[in-house]
Amino acid sequence: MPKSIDIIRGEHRALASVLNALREIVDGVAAGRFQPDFQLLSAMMVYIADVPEIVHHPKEDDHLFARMKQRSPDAGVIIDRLEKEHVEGYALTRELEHALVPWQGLGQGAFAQFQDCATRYLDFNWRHLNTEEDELLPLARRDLKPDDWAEIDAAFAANFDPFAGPNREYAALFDRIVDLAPAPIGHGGSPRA
Amino acid sequence: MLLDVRKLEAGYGRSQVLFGPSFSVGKGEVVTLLGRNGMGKTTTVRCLAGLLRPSAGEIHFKGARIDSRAPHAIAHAGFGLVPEGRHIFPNLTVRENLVMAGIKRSDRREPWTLERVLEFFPRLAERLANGGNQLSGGEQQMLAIGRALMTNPDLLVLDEATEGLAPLIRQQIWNKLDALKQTGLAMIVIDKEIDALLRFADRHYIVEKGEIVWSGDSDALESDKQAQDAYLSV
Repeated sequence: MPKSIDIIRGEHRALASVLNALREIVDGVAAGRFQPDFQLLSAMMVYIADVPEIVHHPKEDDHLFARMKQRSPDAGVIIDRLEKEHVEGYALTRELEHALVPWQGLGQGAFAQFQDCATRYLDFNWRHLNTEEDELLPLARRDLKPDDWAEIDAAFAANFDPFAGPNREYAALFDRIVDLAPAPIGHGGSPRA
Repeated sequence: MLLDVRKLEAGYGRSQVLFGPSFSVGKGEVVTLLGRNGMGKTTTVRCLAGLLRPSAGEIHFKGARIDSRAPHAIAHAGFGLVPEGRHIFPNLTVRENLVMAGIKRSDRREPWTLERVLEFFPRLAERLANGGNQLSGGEQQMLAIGRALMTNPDLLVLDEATEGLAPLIRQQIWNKLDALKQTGLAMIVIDKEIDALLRFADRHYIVEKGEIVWSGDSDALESDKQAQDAYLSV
């Protein structure tokens, strides 16, 4: 399997685990199981904003999608959609960030707005990830040649570790999210000696 | 070859579980044992670790035959086990759990020490004085892996390391295993997260009713939907 597909899938898995945790936390707050932890939510917002936009999407847009446009006529429509979704995803992320501020400032009365934004954001991202995994990557494996993969792999190699980011900054952020997230979602809340 | 298992047979009392699986692990290689519950994966691991004596077959590790050795001798030979269910000591502290497992090796350029394990798992550093029974499931799993690393293994065997953990913690464990793979540590991984294993491992063996019924790399497994349906789906 080309290394770059491994990396894309790895980034999807890491992102999906944070999205899944965000869903659990929003549902838990709505049900009264968790108190809102804005330190945690802020860390999650940084992760879900930065990792796709700084680490993940540029690799797809600049290398994988660009090469597939040349080699895979069947992928054109899907790539057009995914590129639009990258832009739309950016807007939804900003909307979610903006909805966090009133919740933090005004309290539970502003939670419903954040919950609505989070639901839209999460549903959108699950669809987007599924399109890439189920529709685009199979076409990429079918249509790209070893030379194409060699070039894409080389371009991806600059950011090899899919979880850490170029300077390992996102590995620490990910660990912080796991540490803060309430058990059983993460390690948060366990007793200290 | 780091590990070479030949026609292993084993069971419990009159009940034979393993019917001759053969497989191998190279230096720095990550290999999986896949299959549904009750097919013989954990029994295989118990034989490798010396916890169950095979009735037939051979296990060669680093060129020496180990299938009649005691568990502590196999651990000293460089075999690290993270067992299913973690099996940490609940009444010992995190520090005690780690220190008691330590095996020093003079041939290691970067040996695993308490300090290095705590650097690798900073969460454990915050829990050093906590008892094993005060840890969350994810922390216990880190402790189980850290304890195995303290033996300075050449081969790390992880039996259901992510079982029962929430997705976020599972991902953190996979991140750590990725980091270990990059150090060149060979591993045998048993897990149900096929998606993660396809990305993580080099080669796979499917165990069905005590035999190896399929083997191949991740590309081959991913494209063989028939094998996945026949042997891995529940």
